[in-house]
Amino acid sequence: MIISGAAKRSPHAQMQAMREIWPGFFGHKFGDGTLAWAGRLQPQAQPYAVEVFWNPAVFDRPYVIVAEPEIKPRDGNSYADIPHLLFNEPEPTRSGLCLFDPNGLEWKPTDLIAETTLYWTTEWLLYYELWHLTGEWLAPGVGYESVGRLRAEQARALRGMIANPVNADTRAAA
Amino acid sequence: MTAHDRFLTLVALDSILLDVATQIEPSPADGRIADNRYRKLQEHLERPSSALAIYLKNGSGLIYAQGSMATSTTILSGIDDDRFDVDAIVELDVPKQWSEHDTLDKLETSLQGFPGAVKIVRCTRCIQIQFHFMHMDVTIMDRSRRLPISRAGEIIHAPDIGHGARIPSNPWGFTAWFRGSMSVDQQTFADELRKRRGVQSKSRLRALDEREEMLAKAEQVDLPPMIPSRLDAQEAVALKLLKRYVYRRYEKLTLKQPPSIYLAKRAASIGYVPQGLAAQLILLSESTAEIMRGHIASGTRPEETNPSYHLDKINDRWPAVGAEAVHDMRSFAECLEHLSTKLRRLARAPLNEIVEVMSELFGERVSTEVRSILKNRFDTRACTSANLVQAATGNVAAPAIVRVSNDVRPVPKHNFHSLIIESKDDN
Repeated sequence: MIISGAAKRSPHAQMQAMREIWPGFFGHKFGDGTLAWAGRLQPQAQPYAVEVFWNPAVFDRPYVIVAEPEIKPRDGNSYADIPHLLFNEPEPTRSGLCLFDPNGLEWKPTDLIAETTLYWTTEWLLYYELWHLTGEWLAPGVGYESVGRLRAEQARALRGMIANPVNADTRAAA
Repeated sequence: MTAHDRFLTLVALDSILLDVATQIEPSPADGRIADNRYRKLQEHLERPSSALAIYLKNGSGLIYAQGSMATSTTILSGIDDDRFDVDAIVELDVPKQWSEHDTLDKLETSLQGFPGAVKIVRCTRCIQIQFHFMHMDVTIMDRSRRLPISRAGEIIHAPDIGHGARIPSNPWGFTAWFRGSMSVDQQTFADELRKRRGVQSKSRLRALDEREEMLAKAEQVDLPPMIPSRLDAQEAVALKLLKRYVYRRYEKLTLKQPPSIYLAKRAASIGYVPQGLAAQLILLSESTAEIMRGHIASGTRPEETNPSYHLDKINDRWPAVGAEAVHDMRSFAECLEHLSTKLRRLARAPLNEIVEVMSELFGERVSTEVRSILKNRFDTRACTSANLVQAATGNVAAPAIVRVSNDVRPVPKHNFHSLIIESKDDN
């Protein structure tokens, strides 16, 4: 799951593309090399604050969290029932969004997060709302039957990467 | 600050309100059937055995659509039964020797045997022909006084108890004023509405005969229309939504509701609100509630007249007089304030909450249809075309709704996936 040696976009290129395409997002580089952005997406009427983390030394894809309002299951369901998550069992509201099929090579580190991940994130939010409305996930997806699991060591590293939220404090410190 | 500055741009809510509008209006097929019923009305009243035939034939009398059909704001008014309530005017020179009761008697007799009528009911000022899914109120307007105002006259008021009266009226003039008050240059709004109507409108009226069956299926009808053309203006759509909401709200109350023509005058008086349909509806509700509150505070009541004929008092029977007037106006103000509060909250609400509130405001069946429309619009599981996203906001639109432009880009192809982050060491 860790990217090593493969061609990838530089942090500068990722930051630059985010500034150009999503100017409302605030970007920050943490000391461990993690790039993070926070901003607002409004797929329909409800606005959502989202955070995006990217550190190829820790995880092979951008990790996106819905910071506010927190995601929640449908009535009578559990968080584990929310479709297409990187389900974070100890802290379900900090689960990531599973935005593409890694086996289908739909995203590579050579791709710009601004041109892919953000579009998929706002679409995920739309289908999440529609799932609450209809009970069905109405977008193409690799189904529940192919749920993957992260090794514990990777899971710990990933939780470390997302431990610091990109919020007003980060902004003030920048 | 202008009244318009108070509003956000409510794009997503506007879209859903447009969907609601397509579900509460007559479909194009319904419109063609209704048009034929007006034509049938003319034929029926001009038949030799009709008591009114002699006063109508050879162009000496006129029959035309009035009210919501003429202003293109007809909505489903039945809550438990899908029903359109439409109005017709029979304009003629009423003989001097006919009393008001005689006049309505003759209309009632002449309407007997109307094709497809389930029931014919006499009201104070009209005769109502009831069909499946449609009621037509037929009103006689006496034009014998030859007033100097185009198509003005007197409608007949004949209560069960007491004396009759003639009420100054000019529905034709009101229609012309209303249609002329709509702002022009709303092509984008009209295109958006027509696109949705083409995909999702639902027909209710049942054809009475082969001719109506044929008309319902026809894209175009050769005969000149009896009903004026559709008016796809934002102000008119806001009025339709308000009427539907008020009908539902008052159904639970024992109060008399304000007349549609009063709401129509308010809707036309406001003008176009560039912030969109939801903002138009919010302004219509809030400004009308303010008027009610103002009258309550000053001990007065609204006395609106027809702009085309000032003797035509359009709310002569609402609100009631005396202490009851305050109750009528306060209830109406509360009704309007409830609507605007709900809409303002929905401006930033998730879809399930919006659809749930649509159920409360416009009816459960309407919201069920809207849920189905949204599902069909965004279901891309078996679809090759991508949704479109506006990068500045992240707003997502279905390809059927918007076109690719400089600020809107298609979502790159992908499949959502699933993964579990383990909480314990794996074996």
